[in-house]
Amino acid sequence: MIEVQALSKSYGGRIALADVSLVVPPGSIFGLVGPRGSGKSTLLKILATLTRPSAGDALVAGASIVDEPLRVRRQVGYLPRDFGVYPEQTCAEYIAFFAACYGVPPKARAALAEDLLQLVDLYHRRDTPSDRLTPAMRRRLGIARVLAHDPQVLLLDEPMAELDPRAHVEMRTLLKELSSMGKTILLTAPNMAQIQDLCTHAATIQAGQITLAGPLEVVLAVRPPHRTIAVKFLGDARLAINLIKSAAGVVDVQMPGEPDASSGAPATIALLKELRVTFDGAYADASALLRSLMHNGVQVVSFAEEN
Amino acid sequence: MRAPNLNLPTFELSPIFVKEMAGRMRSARAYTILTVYLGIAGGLSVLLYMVSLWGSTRTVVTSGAVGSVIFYFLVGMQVLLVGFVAPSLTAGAISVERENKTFDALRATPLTAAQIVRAKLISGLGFTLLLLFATLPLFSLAFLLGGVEPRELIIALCAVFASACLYTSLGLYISARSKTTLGATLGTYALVTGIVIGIPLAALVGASTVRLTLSGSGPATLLADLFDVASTLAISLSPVGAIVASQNVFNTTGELWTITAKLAGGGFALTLPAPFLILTGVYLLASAALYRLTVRHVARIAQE
Repeated sequence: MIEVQALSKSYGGRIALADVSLVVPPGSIFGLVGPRGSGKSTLLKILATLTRPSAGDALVAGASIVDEPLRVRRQVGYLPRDFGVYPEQTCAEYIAFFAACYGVPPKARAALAEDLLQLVDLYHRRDTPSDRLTPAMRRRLGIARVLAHDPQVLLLDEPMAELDPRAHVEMRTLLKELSSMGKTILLTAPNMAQIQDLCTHAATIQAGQITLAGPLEVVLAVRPPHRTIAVKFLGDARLAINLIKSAAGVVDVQMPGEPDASSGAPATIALLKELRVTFDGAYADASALLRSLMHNGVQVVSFAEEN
Repeated sequence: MRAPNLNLPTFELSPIFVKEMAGRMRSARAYTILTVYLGIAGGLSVLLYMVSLWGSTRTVVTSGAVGSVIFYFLVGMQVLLVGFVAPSLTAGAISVERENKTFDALRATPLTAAQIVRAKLISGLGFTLLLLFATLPLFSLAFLLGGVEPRELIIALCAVFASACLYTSLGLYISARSKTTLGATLGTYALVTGIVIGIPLAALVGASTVRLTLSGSGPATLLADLFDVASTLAISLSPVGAIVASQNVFNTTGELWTITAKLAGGGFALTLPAPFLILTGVYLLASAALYRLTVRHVARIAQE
C-alpha cells in the first residue's frame, strides 16, 4: 500500500532522512518508532505530500508522491502530532468542512459527520465548539476528520501523544476498528511499548535511517519494548552514569535514593551502587552497554532486566 | 408527484469561503463594526445637515451644497473604513492558520494553493463590500438634497473598490509571509498608512520644493511642469488624492475620464487618464500581482 523508495530529505546541511526504503503492506497497522528528531514526522509529512523529498519517491496506494500529489491526497488521511481546530466550528461542522474540502457532495456531509462522530464516540458532542474538547476528545475528532473522505491510508503522527491511560486504550481500540475496516495505518510512536499491542508491523528509525523493519514479532525479537535494566556495580557512579547516558537505546537513568541521577549528582553510597536504566534499545545495544561499562573500569556486579 | 429532474449545473462556493464568512458573521465583531460605522456615518451626516442649514434660508442652491458636503463626507468615511477594516480582514488569514496549527490539515486536502488564497481573498473582500453596500442608503440623503452628479459617485466607487481590493490582497500577502498575525497586521497597517497618507504628502512636498527651486523660464519651467505631472500621478496613487484631484478636474474642465496638463507655459499639452482611473488601474494590477505572489508563496511552503 505504501512503498517508500530511497527517500531522502535535507534542510540546508542537516539530513532529516537518509535513503529511507520501507514497505507498508495493505491493511496493516505499521508503527514507526524513534525518538524525537529521528525523522519519523518528516517521513509522514512527505508521504502526505506536505513536504517534497530531496531525493527518492514513494508510492501511496499506487500514486507517486512526487508526480501525483493530488491523487495521493485523495487516498491519504493525515493527522499531525499537534493540530488545531477552528474555534468557530462545532465538531459536526469541523468534519463537514473537511468533507467539503475533499469534494464530498453537500447532501452527504451532515450524515457523514454524524456517522464519523459516532465512530469516534463523539456524537454526543456534535454541537460542541471544537476548541472546547479535552485533548483526548480532540485527537478522536482529528481521527474522524481524516476519515471524512474515506481514505485507504491513514498517516497518524503520534496519535497516542499526551493521552491518559484510559484514552490510550480507547485510541488503540479505535485504530484496531479502523484496521478491521480495511484501512492501512502508518503511525509513529516514541517507543515500542506504545505500539506492541496494536501494530502488525513495525520499523525503528534513528537519525533519519531505518534501522530495523518487519512484522512486529520479528522486530520485538530483536528490539523489545522499553524496559528497566538494573545495574549493580562498584566504582565511580558518575562515570557509569555518563557511559550509560551516551549508550544507544537508553531513555533514562535513575539512581534509587537520588531524585535524578542524570543530573550528575555525586554518588553517596560507598561500596555497592545501583542504577536503574530505562532502556528501549535492541538486545545488541544492551550487550554493547555492558561491554562499554566493563571496558571503562566499572566493576559490574549484576546487569539484569527487571520483569 | 416527483419534481422533474432538470439536470441543472450545480454551483458550489468554496468551503473555505463559506467557513470564513460563517465564522465572521457569527462573531459579535462583524455586527459591532457595522453598527458603530453606520451609527457614526449616519449620525455625523445628520449633524452636518443640521449645521449646514443653521441660520441659512432653505433654497435649492443651499440644499445642493449641503448634499455635496454630505456626499464627500460619506466618501471620506468609506475611504477610512476601507483603510481600517480591509487590512484587518486578511492580515491574519494565513498566519492564524499557522499559529493555530490548522494549516497542515488544510494543505493536506486536494485544495490547491490558489483555491485557498482565492477563497480567503474573496471572503475578506466580500465582507468589506458588505460594509460599503450597507452605507449606500446614507448616500440617498445626499442625492435627495441634490448637488451631486452620478459621475461623482462613479469616481468615488471606483477609488473605494480598487482600494478595498489592494488592501485585502496586501493583507493576505503579508499574512502569508509573516510568522505571526500581530506582525502581519502591523506590517499591513504601516503600508496602508504609507499609501493613503505618505504618497500624497511626499508628492505635495516634492512638487512644492521643485517649484520653488526651478522658478524661471525655458527648460527649468518644462522640468517643473513635468514634475507637476509626476506629482499628480503620485497623488493619484492615494485614494483621497485621486478622488479630490478627479473632482477638481471635473469641476474645472468638465472632463471625467482624462486630464490635460499644459507644459512649458502652454507650449504643448499632455493628456493623461483621470487620477481615479490611474488609481483604479494601478491598484487592480497591484492586487492581481499580490494575489499571484501569495499563491506562489503558499505553494512554495510545500517545497521546504
